[in-house]
Amino acid sequence: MLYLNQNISAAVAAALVTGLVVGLHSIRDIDPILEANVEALTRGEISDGFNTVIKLESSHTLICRGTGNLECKW
Amino acid sequence: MDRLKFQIIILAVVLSVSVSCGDKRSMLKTLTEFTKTEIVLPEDLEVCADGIFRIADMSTLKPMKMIVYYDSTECSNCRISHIMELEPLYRLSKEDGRFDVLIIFSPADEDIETVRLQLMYQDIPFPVYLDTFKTFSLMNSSIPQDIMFHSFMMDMDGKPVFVGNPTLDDVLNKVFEEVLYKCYI
Repeated sequence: MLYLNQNISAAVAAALVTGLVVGLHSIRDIDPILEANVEALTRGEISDGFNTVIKLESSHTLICRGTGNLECKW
Repeated sequence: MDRLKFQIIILAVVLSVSVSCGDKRSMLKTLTEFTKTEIVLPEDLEVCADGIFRIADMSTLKPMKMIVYYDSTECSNCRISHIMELEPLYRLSKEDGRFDVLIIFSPADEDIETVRLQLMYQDIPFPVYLDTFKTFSLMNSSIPQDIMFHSFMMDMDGKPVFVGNPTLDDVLNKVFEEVLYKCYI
């Protein structure tokens, strides 16, 4: 059990270090406007209460009525 | 044992965060690469306005252009049937006055005639461009295949500076405004 524990500790430490390195690398040289653009594009589903508007792509929408089993149309 | 459980949970959290960030990071990377390319508008693009086709004159357009591109992998007929969804983008372009909108269809050879007929007879209140000779798609192979990148704004140098349809989302529209402002100062 102790051996397993040590292995998992090492894996966690490795994952954290990898995450940190990748994170630091990715924030370097990034245009804030492009970052905001990606952020806005990946916000996912938007709902206006009755019609659930699912953003499928940047230029197209799929409108679904109701909740649960949605009836959708282009 | 509790410690073991805790460590497994931490590992799962780290992995899931890294996977979800990976999607955005990959998109950001694609967008960054895309902004380094140059979009070329060929001289043989056809434009359909009021049901009549003619060769488009790009020199009359504003330097900044919002492109909505439908390549041969998309169902052109379906897109034309729903083309009025893009009307708000044209309205925005007219109200703003700083950019023009170019909806470009580049259908497969076997679909060209059907697309032409549909564009001619569907009462579309704005011009629509047709890449009849496939020049646009050939000259702009740098456009990512992901459909997400097929609506974009190009700046005065022909470089993509924004991706998405700003009329669909307030946050996207805010970013779009920032981009326009930055390009005009």
